Amino acid sequence: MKWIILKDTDKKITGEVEKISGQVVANCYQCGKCTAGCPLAYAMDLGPTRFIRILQLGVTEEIKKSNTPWFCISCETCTTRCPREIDIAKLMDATRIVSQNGEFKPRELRIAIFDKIFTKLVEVFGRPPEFLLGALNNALTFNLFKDVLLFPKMFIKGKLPISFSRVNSKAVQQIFEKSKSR
Amino acid sequence: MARVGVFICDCGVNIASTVDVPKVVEYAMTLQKVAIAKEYKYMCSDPGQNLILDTIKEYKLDRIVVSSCSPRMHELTFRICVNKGKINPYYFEMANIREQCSWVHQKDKEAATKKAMKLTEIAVAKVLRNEPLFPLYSPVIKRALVIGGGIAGIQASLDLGDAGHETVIVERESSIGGRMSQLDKTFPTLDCSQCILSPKMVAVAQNKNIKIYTYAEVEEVQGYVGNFTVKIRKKARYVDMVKCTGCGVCTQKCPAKTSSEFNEKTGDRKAIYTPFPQAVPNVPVIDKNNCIYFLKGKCKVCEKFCPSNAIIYNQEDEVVEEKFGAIVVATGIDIYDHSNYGEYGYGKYKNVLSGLQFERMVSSSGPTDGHILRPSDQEEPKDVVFIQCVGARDPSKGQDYCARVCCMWTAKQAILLKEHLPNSRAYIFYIDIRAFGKGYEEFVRRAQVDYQVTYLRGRVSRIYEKGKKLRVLGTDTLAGGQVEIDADMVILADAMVPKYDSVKVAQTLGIPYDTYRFFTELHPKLAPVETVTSGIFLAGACSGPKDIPDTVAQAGAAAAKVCALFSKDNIEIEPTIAQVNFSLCSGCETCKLVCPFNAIEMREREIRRGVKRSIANVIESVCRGCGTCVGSCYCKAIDLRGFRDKQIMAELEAVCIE
Amino acid sequence: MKFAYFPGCSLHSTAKEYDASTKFVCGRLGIELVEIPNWVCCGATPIHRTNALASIALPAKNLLWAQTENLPVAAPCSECFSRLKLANLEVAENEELKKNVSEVLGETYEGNVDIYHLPQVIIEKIGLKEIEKKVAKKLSGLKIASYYGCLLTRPPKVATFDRIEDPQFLDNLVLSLGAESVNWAYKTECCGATFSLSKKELVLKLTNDILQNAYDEKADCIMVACPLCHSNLDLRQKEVEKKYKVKYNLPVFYFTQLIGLSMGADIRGLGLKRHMVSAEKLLSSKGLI
Repeated sequence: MKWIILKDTDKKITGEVEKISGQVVANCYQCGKCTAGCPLAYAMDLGPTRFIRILQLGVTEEIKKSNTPWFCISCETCTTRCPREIDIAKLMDATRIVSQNGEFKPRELRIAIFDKIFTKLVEVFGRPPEFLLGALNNALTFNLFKDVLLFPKMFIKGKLPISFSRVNSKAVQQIFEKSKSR
Repeated sequence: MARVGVFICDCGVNIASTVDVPKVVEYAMTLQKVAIAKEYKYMCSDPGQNLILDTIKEYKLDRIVVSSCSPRMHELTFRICVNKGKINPYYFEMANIREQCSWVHQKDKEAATKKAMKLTEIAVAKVLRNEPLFPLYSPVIKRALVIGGGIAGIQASLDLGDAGHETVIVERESSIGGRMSQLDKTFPTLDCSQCILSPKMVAVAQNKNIKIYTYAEVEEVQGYVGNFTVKIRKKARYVDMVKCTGCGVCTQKCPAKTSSEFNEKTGDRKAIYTPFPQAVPNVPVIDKNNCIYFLKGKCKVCEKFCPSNAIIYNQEDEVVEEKFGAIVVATGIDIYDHSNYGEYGYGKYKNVLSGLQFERMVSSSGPTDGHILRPSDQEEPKDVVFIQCVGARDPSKGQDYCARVCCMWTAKQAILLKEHLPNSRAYIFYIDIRAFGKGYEEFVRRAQVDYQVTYLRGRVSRIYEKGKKLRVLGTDTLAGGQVEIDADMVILADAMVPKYDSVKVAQTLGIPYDTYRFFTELHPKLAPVETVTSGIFLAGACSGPKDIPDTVAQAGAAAAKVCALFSKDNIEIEPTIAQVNFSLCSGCETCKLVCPFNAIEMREREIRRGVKRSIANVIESVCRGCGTCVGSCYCKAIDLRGFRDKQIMAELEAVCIE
Repeated sequence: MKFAYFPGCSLHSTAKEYDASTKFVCGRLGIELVEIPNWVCCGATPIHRTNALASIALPAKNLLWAQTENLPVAAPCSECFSRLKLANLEVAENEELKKNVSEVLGETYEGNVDIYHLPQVIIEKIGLKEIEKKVAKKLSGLKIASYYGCLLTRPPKVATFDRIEDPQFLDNLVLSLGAESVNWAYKTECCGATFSLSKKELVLKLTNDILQNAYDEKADCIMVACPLCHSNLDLRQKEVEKKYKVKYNLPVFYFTQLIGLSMGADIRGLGLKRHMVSAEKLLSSKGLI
């Protein structure tokens, strides 16, 4: 059981999450409908309901430690069914963005690394080459042989083009550069 | 020479914490013809009123301004006070510096103070142009109309009838009884609902002061407090109320079946029917839309078998017009349509039921004779899941409010399930348990401890059919996990919503309704059974969800209000009504056309010697002083007493002058 | 009927058969698809989890062309559709965002482009009646579980074309093609595509649940309208079977492939040979090829 000392809580992360997502966490009354329908709640430590609760209280350590926002798969089930009309998926996104902005270390490195690689590939190529995406992801997560068995068959079926080209990459780079400064 | 006294109220901290009251006093003293301005903590209190009276004497005041709360709150209080000080009550004005100033400008004290000064100045400007007015009197017709024959209407009528007042109940259905008659047991005592209701229904029928119009609807309401004229449509029931003995042969023999509204479509009824065995009056109606004779022109089985020749196929609707002095609105509620929750599959899965459907199933007079059976295969259920707050506390469905009875209702249903089927398991998904009434908390405890009902804190996300079972995906936020139950039946708690046509009823009666379409009380705390339209009162859940004890209490309160009204032979009417300047009126009849109360008639009048013309005339007892005619008059021939153009212009001038 | 076509990355790599069958079906139905020149990735999930502004600006970049040409957009991928439409909605609703996005793009994006998911174009704009007229060979006897996944019906403000829970439009299409529609519970559950590469072990359970339910409800095959759903249900099916020690062998079709099949197209042209779970055995057992 946790010992929550309220004077040690801090609403800084909560404030940033609210700002980025445009949501108000005080709207949540912890009915649990989000957790009840979440396809990945089984793997989460807190689940969306309790995660929003610690956001409400500002239990910073718990927010940083929780895998819940990292395991959100953006299926929007929670957002769709929330009786208080909170865009919960967006809250999870915003928490990850706060982490990416350097506020705290990502709890799930493999997921964070994949997101980074994907983003970088979009930035460089305009369209991320899937072959490269898979290969880089494996290399950077020290999991070189993941899905290797699938490759030959995918290749035969023409599902894995090895060649790739750059499309509109200047414009895309501009988008990333300018949006970073905001 | 007018001498104005200005009294500024602190209202404790309500005004004084935002508005700098001494500054307003200081400012008021500088206004023209103001003899004195004073501050007091609670101007409406006895010492406050005495302060006004003393000051009137001391400064020989003849006009009074009070800057405090809304006139809806205390205008009458101060008018009476001013009258005691021998000043005509209409030489009084009120400036609202609470609701329209201190409460809404809490963040800007300086601006609030400035606004309070201005509002006070406006009131002073007006009071200087006021004129003495004297009340008008109108006789009271001591007959009451009760709309709706549920437990609220029944109780109000009984109380009124017992007090000796002639009362008419108008009920839309073919029997009185309402929602309560659909229930099996009532919480927290588990009294049989029908057993405690039927004696009251019979008492209503036998009370010589009470007349019941069932299968009837109010169509039009005219008039005002003490003197309403109401048109009531008595729908054709195709059965002679006098001849019918209620033997029931017609229903037995009728070959046409349709699903029963009383049983919430879980069972059938005939085309000629009484909704339930204890119906009052015990006279059936023919449902034209399902009767074979009305559909195909052949059958007439009921007529053939009726031993008293009571069937009248060519009966027509009848509209009667009656006069009443007061109206009690007790129109009740509908049940939330659960099919709006696609994730729960109501309407798609047979074994997902509404609370009322389950109630009918448990009732021994219901379609299964009180046996709890899974609708898909008529087997006894083992695991039953109840879900609370369906259609309540859910802004995403536009239903922000707490439906108030579901916590207790669900606990009761779970107990009934365990009493009928002791080996079954009951699960209740809840968000909070709201058991605030007398004996309610103890009742929920009993469900949890004595009946071993499993309470799970969380909403259900989804239900789907898996084989013969319903898979319920929920959560228990207290244990911190997802919950999966394979249930035989799921009961969705019923949130109370306003009657489908509540807006139409409100418009017919001229009473306001809130964003959910419930009727609005005059004051949520201090006038819970009154409406802004005097003479029209509310009882029961038509003004918001209520359980039976609250409904009965409110019905009694409404009846008491009517009795108070009927204790007078005449009632005072506000003299602030329209007045026609005959010399200016052109007789164009525009005012007559726009008047919502039919208070204007055209009358031949001699304007100059020998010159006669048709001119508008205000019927004083009917005019409500709304001012519509004033705005519509091309010739500026109509003015509103107490709100004359010169008074309004003086106010506007005060607004504009810096 | 002319649409600006946004194929998305998958249709140029893992889902070429979706692209091919889409072009075939649209050609037959008189829908002209003009590919947005030099389109770039919509950003998909990783971008909206890392950069809120770029997640709107990237789709907006692609929509600029449609805005100039005054064309509605058709997107065959649920993820792309969702990102494009959301960008459009948010820009339209939020003046400040519009300013920021326009600044990042160097051009003003107004947020007034009409965006349609491909099934919406075919089912709503053309209509099932028209499709029925073009059916040359009814898919009789084929029991199809229509899989909608997450983003075809959620969130409701983006996916506005059918009821959120238990949607029916793909099922109705199935009936129009003369096949049987399977009533199943997992049609809108998430397949987990987002984590397919980064957290595979979480995804296999989700994919298994979906396949299991379709199998239990006696479906012969699954029909999808999204390349990501397809890659998870088809590409990972063998892996799921191995991990959970089950045997489903459920072919997964794109809805355009099934329409194409009913119109009598050649199975190679529809890319039916490119699936990991072979469809040929099933189709020949039903006498459809």
